[in-house]
This record gives sequence, C-alpha cells and structure tokens, in this order.
Amino acid sequence: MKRKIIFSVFAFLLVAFTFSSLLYAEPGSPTRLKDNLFSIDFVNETHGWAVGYWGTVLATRDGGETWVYQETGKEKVLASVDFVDENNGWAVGYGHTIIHTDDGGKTWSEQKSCEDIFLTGVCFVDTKKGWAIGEWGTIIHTENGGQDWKVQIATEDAILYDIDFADPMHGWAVGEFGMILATVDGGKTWNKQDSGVENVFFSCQALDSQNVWLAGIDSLVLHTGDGGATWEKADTGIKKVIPFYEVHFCNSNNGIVAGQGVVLYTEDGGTTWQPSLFDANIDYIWLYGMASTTGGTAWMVGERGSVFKSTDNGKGWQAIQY
Amino acid sequence: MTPEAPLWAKTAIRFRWPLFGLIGVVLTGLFLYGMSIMSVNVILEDMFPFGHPFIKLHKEFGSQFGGASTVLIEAKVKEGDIFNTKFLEKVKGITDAIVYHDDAYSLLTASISQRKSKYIRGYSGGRVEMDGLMWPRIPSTPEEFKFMKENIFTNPMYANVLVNGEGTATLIIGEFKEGINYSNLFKFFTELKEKYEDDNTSLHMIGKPVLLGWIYNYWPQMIGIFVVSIGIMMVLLLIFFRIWQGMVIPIVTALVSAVWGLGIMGFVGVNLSPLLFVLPFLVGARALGQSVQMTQRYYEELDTWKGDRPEAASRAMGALLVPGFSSVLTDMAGFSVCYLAKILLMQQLAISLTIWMLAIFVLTGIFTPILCCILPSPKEKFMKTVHEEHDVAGKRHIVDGVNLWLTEKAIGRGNWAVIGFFALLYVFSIWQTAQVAVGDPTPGSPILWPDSVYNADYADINRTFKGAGADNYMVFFRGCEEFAAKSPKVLQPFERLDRFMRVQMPDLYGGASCLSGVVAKLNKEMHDGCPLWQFIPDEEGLCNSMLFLFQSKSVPGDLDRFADPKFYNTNTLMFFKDHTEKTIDQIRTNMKKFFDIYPQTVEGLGEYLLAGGVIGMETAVNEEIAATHRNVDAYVLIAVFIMCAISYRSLLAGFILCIPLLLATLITFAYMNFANIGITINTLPVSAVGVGIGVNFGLYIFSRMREEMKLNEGNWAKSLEVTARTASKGVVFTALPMVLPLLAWYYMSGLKFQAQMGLLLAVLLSFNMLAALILHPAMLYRLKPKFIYKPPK
Repeated sequence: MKRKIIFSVFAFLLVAFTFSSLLYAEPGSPTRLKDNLFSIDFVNETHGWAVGYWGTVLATRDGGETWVYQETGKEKVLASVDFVDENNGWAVGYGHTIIHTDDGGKTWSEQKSCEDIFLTGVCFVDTKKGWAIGEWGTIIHTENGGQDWKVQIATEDAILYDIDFADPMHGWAVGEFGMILATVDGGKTWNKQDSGVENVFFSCQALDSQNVWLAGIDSLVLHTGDGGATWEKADTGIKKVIPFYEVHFCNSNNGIVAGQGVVLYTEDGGTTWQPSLFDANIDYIWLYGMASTTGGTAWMVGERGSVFKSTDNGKGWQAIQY
Repeated sequence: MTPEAPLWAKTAIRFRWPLFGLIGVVLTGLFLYGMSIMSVNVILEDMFPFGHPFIKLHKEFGSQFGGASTVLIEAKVKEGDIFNTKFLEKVKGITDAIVYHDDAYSLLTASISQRKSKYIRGYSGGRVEMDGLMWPRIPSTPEEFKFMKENIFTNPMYANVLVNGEGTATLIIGEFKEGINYSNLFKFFTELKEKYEDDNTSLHMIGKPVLLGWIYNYWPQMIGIFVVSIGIMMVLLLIFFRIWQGMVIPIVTALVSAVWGLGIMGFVGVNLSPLLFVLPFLVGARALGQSVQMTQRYYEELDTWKGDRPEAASRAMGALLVPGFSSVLTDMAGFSVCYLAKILLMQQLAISLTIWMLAIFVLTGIFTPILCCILPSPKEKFMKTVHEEHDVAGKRHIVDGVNLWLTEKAIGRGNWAVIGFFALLYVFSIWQTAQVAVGDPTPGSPILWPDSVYNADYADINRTFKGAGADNYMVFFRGCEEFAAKSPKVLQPFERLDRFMRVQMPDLYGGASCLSGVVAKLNKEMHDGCPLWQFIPDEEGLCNSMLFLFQSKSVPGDLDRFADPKFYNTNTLMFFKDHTEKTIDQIRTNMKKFFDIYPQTVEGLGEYLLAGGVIGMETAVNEEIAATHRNVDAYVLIAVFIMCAISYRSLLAGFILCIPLLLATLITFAYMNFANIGITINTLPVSAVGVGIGVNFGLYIFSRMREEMKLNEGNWAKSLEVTARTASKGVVFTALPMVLPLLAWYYMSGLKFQAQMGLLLAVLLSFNMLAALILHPAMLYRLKPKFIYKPPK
C-alpha cells in the first residue's frame, strides 16, 4: 500500500512539474542607432564632438579612433556644437535647447535660453563669451558662459542658420532671404550686409576680419575679402542645382563645400573647385557639418550618422565606423 | 470465456438488417448531404480569438487601414536597375491590376507608380514642389530617371521601403479583403507572374492571401495522399487479417464514419480548414482502429462459438462496450476541451469532432459487429489459424511473437530497465518541452517547406529591403475630435516610437509608414529643404498648414492609408522581418517599455491602441493559445484520469493510465521543439487530440488483464502472456493502420505543416503503442494493482 501511495505522489509531482516548466525566454538587449548628425567640432587633434537628432552627442578623445555617445537627456534636435577647449562646450537645438558641459561632455547640464525658438547655431570665443542664433532673425548672447542669455538682435521673420566669429570682435550670422548680419564690436551692434541674393544661406565661416565664406541653397558659394562690403559668387563649376549646407576652409587656400550628395574642394582659395573622392557612396545623402584641426585633418558629418575624415584638406574622404 | 452478451447487443444483432439500413443507408445518405454542403476554406476571421482587444481593433480599423491581409509584391531586375521605362511600365501594370482588383482595398495600395507616391522638394524662397514620382508620365530620359532616383533615395518613406538601396527592386503593397476566394486570387497572382516576368524581371509575392493561395494549390495533392493512405490501410489490414472481410469491415466503418463526421461538420456549419485536414483523417483512422479491435474480437468469439455469427457479434459488442466507450470518451475529452480557446475555429472543431467521436462509438460499437455478422463467415482455414493463435500453447502470429518477447522482457529481468528507460525519457522530454515556442519559431511560413517558392520569396524580400519587412504591426490612434490626428501631440509619439523600435530591435525592425513621416518630410522641404527640420514641429498650426498644403496638391484618398478623411484616427504601419514568437515577444516587451515611458493617452485628443497588422493578429492568437494550451492539455489528462479512475474504481488506475499519456504528450512537445514547430492554432488541436488518443491502447490491455486474471486465478505472468497474444495484438493491429498512413502524409505532402503533423501523430501513436506493449505490462507486474485483480482473502 505504502509503495502505491509513494508511486501516486511521484506521478502527481511529475504532472505538476511538467506543467510548471513551460517558460518564456527574455528578449535581447538593444544596440545604438546612428542618427543624423548636423555639427562637429574639434578643439585639437584628439578631442572632438558631433551632435544631431534625438539629443545625440558623439565624442572622441583619440582623434576619431573611437567614438562614444554622451548622455544629454535630450530628445530634440541638437543643431550645433562649439567647444572652446577640451572641457568647455555648448550645444543648441530645437525647443530653445542649450546644454553645456565643463568636463568634456561627461555631464551635460541645461542652460536657460531667453527666447523660445529653435536655436540653429552657437559660437563661443572663450569660456565666457558666446552667441546663439535661430528663428526670427534672433541672436542671443552670453557674457558668463551661458548662465544668462540676452537678446542682441531679433530682426524679422527669417531663420538664421549659422554664426561664426573670426575674433572676439568680428562675427557674421547668415540665414534665410540672403540675410547676412555682421558685427565689428563683439555683437554690441549687428548690421545687415547686402549679399546681392535672396537665397537662404546655411553656413558661414569667418577666416579673419576680412575673409568670410558663405554657402547656401541653389549651389550658392559666396566670398568676401573686404569684411562684407562686397560679396562675390564663387564659381564651383557645379552644373546641378543643389543645396550646400556647409562651407569650411582649413586654411586660406584649402576649402571644402558640402551639401546634398556633393562635396567639392579647392586648393587655390576658391578659384577652382573639384569633386572630392569618397570610399563610400554619398550620392543620396546630405552632409551638413564640418571641422578641421591645425594638423590638417578635416571632419564631416551628415545623414544617418555619417562621419567622414580627410587627411588631405578635403581631397579624399574616408568613412569612419563607430 | 466472455460473459454473456447484454440484451441490447442481442437485440441489435437480431434487428441487424433494419439497423444496417438505418445506419448504413438512411443516416449515411443524410450525412452525405451534410458533407456536400460543408465549407472547406481558410477563413482568417475564424482563426482569431474573438474576445481579444487586438481583434476588436482589427474589426474597427481593418477596412480603413488594412494590415492583416497584406500582399507584398517585389518586382526585381536581374541585371541593371529598375530605372528604365520598360520596367517601370511593368510596375505600373502590376499596380493598376491590384488597384482595380475587385477584392483589393484600392486606396490602401502603395507603389512608386501611384499618383499619391509624391516627391516633395523645397526650393529657395520657400517654394515647395510636389508631384508623383512617376505620374502622370513614366520617366523616359536620363535626366528624368536621375531626378526620380534623387526623389526616391533622399526620401526615407521610399528609400529601402518601396525601392531597395541598390535600386534593383521595388515593392508593391496591396491590401485585400478577408474571406475572399483565395484560389481565384492565387490565380490572379500567377497570371501577373506569367504576364510580367521575363528574362530580366522576376516577381516575388508574399502575404497571407498568397500563402492561402499556395495552400489551396495543394488541394489535389491532399486528395492524392488521402487515397494513398486508404490504400496503405487496406494493404495492412489484409496482411493482418489475411481475409477480405478483415479489410472491408474496418475500411467501410472508417469511410462511413468519415461521411458522418464531415456531414456533422456540414450541418453544424463548421468550416474545415485545409490545414487541419490531418485531423479528420486522424479521427477517421481512429474509427478504423476501433473497428479493427471489434473485428478482431469478433473473430475470437467466432472461434469460441464455433461459427455462430450472431452470438459472436453480440458477445464482442458486450465485451468491448466499456473499453470502447472509455476510449471514445477520452478522445471526446481531448476534442471538447479545445472549446476553451476563444477562437471560433477551435470551438467549431471541438463541437463537431466531439460529436464525430460519439458517432464513431455508435458505428464501431454497433455498425461494425452488424457488418461482421452480415458478411459471410471466413473460410475454415482462417478460423483454424485464429483458433491456434488464441491457444496459449498454439501457433503464434508473428506479431504475437514480438509482443510476447516484449512482455517477457518487461516483466522479467528487464523490468527495472524498462521503467528506468521511460523515466529517463520523461526527464529528457521535460527539458525539451520547456523550450517549445508558442507561435511560429521560424521566419517565413512554417506551413510550407523552407525551399518552397513562398519561403524563398519571403527571404528574398527581407534580404532586399532593409527599410521594410515581410510582416507588419500596427499601432492605432483613436481620436476624440476632428483633426486630432494632425496634432503634433499625436504625431510626435509615433515619431518617437519609430526611433525607439530602431534602437531596440535594429535587426528585426525595418521602418514605419506613418503620417508623422509625411509631416516631417513636409517640415524639411518647407524650410528650404534644410535637413535640420526633418521632424514633427511642436506648433499645432504649422502641422495643420503643412498637411493642408499637401492635401491641396493631392486627390481625395491620397492620405487614406494614414488617416480617416476627418483626421480623427491615424496609425503607424511598422515593418518587421518576421513574425516568429521571439520577434513577437520582443515587440510586446518593447511596446510595453515605450508606453511605460510615454503616456498612452493624449489629453483631450485620444489614445494609442495596440495593435493590428499581421503581427498584431498573430500576437492575439499566440496570447490566446499560450493561455489555453496548458489548460487544454491539463484538462485532457484530468478528464482521462477521472474517467479511468471511475472505470476501474481506483486512483492508481488513473495514474498508471495517465503516465504514458503524459509522457506521450511530453514527447510530442519534445518533437515539436526538435522539429522547430511552435504551438499555434494549427498544432494545438492536433497535440490536444494526441493527448487523449493513446489511452485506448492501455484500456484494452487493462480490460483483457482483468478477464485473464480471473480465468488464471491471479497468475500475473500467465495473464500478461495471454494479454500479449490477444489484446496486445489488437493494439498493434489498431495502431499500425493509423501510424503508417500518417507517415504517407510525412513523405508525400508538399505542405510542411501537414507532413510534420503526420509525423508528430505517428510518433505519438507509436509511443502509445509501445507504452501499451512494454510499460503497462512492466508497471502492472511491478505494482500488481488490486483494480486488476483482488486476491480472495
């Protein structure tokens, strides 16, 4: 009898165990997505940052060998980044976003913008003094590293897309309807300059107080050699009408202009332009942000998280995997 | 000696001719009519759990946004790219054929050739140009092709979604109504292939309607296998019985039972899915097995009663009443618990197959002995053999020899080895069972073989289109006011969801087609084509005005696949690479994660609702199956346990009979895991039926043992030996005519699912047979239970 009871209990346990053993597997862990990148900045040969969609900040400390994502806690587009040294940098974007780091990006903190606009560009000349631009022709300025921002100018219903300072006094901001705003007094006053066109400018670079380059829609590249008194269209030789989103000169002779599926370079200060060579197909992607180091390395970022590197002033580009 | 036949059996045999007329002619004729009105279709709606919220959503939004009956047609070039007039004309031709097909939701069709597939380009001064990619004219010059390429490859809504990255293939997405004639639709697809394929162009088609078309395509083959199976049964019966009566009686009983069963289905209004064809075949084979038992018993009685056919028939009827009824009841339990699943197909199957089993009891319990009695007696030579084989010391049938050898080993020195072997098998099966998937474990269709055209096309589309996927999942937004769907508060979460899934499931998620994509693209192009703006802006007015602009340059219906005309509701159609249970699990987990972070309700505007599309429907079915399948199997076992315990008035009897069943169930799941078959709506009824179907072998052994123990005055060894020569032979004769024809399905079916189910059931039945021949004798000998024999005090 005892044997049968033990047998019955054993059989019951087998049944119970069987039906309790049907378990589910846990799903796998996620990997990082490559979002569109809009801006890149290097402070020296090794330290660089790129920003883009969904609050993305990508950083390198070894000259682009390795890239890491930095946590910003932001979801909105970050349109522009500017670092003044290895530690201090700012990034701006949609929804009046301004974020700042003083530890090279290990931590980012939010700064309060004085205007509720899409901030499309940022430029700092030192750890204290900087400018940010955006919708409504607005330029805001800080004298204390971003703790307080004040409006310097809010001209009209035109979006400003880029700002650059050649030195603490001389700066330019460009945007819609061919708008060029320039300052010679560190931003105390901003004056309109006549570009001669009504097209939108997406990019400007001030090489010094006299030499400034602009790039924009309809394959537009403009240059001034007299501080903006006169602007001349550069003949890039390109037949197709595309938007140029970025112009960048590594030095007074070597320049690069990039846009929708096209990158051109010049070795003679913009007199002649040639198509750059790539180790990847860029026909259907846009390229938006550029930076270079004093050592002669140029960097470019764009659609779907593209990062390209050039060691010959933009003549040839190599896609960087990260 | 068999006890005297009960009165009912004697009466039935006395009135055998009227009963034969009633059962064999009148009722069979009636059920033949029922069979003729039976529907043999795949009805998608019947396969969904009707109470599940996803199914309710599908009913609410299905006709508006589609998703569950989507067809993807990949048109592909072998050399060059698709950007040439000849190929694009083909694309237009295919698209138009779908748009104008009577069973298609025309407005839900998506293709690069349609007017609504627009390019949007921003120019300086805020000018925005919008027009069809290849509308109204198909491009013909190199400049036009270049322009078209730019418009496609720079737009995330087209690049890698409607045209692959290399420009060598394009997708045409069609949405079809449900419950249509899939044979005709398949013919339509076949004609499209014939018309548009050439040396440099191939078409690849996938989606539920195409899959169903393929299944219907195998219809003639199924009939062929059915005929072959019956042929195998006939040959086996001839080998076993060595007389024509032994072949005719079970075959006629099985065929009549099939007519009854299918007739019942016809009258009840049950639709028989071609995928579940193996199930009625199994029930028919079950009738055959039961009939074989009865026929064999009849010949034994005929030998005992010296050729008195009515006496032999009525005694056989009386003797097999209890084991026959018990085994039919257990099978009925197996079928009826399928009713627990809240899926119409399962419930209909549960009702009709349960009634069918009852009909089998009537047919094998009454009709078979009547047939035995009506047909002329076998020749004397055969009866002499029966007599010799029945005698313990007499001549042995080859099956008897094997059975006796097995019994000797099981109760002799190999007793513990047998029990140990089955215990080990049990542990191994539990380990395997724990890994069985609920849902499809493989990409493509598990119904078809991996090298089938359909699965090859499925793999090709997934390989070619990185931004799309062969399966889709939908999230709906139900708005509570007009234009709610245009609000950035509604569209931004869709944009976030798209990115969230890209991050979480990079290898499985292709991308999404959503109104948010249209608005983001418009936002970019209206800001001079500046990529900085390719997102959903916060401003309500801006979203509204952009969509107004888009609509002003569109024709009515262009946005119908994204939102209703008054913009109350909208959706996102998300593409995934497959609908395996692992993918579905990940989607479920990630959707939960997403809506834990972001609210599912947008205050004052409406709420997000999960889920639709092929994967949504599959999720609903999987959840229902997961909730039901353990209960189904557990309830079958409990039902069997209770019935056996009552029959023998012993709990131990219940346990002993359930052990092989439990083990057989575990082996079923172990095989399913090994063969990569998940528990789906198609496999659940088969596995549930499999749980109960083997118990009758044990019941026959136990019943015979009770009789023999009385006759042999408690001599276990001798009784087991006689049982091995009688009931065990019956088990083999019953099992093999079921097992071997099932193997024909395995070797011959072009449908992988049917082949696997055939093999699965064959394995299951073989195991139950082996358990009856080895494990039961071993356990009976070891335990010597009192419900078999109670020694006198």
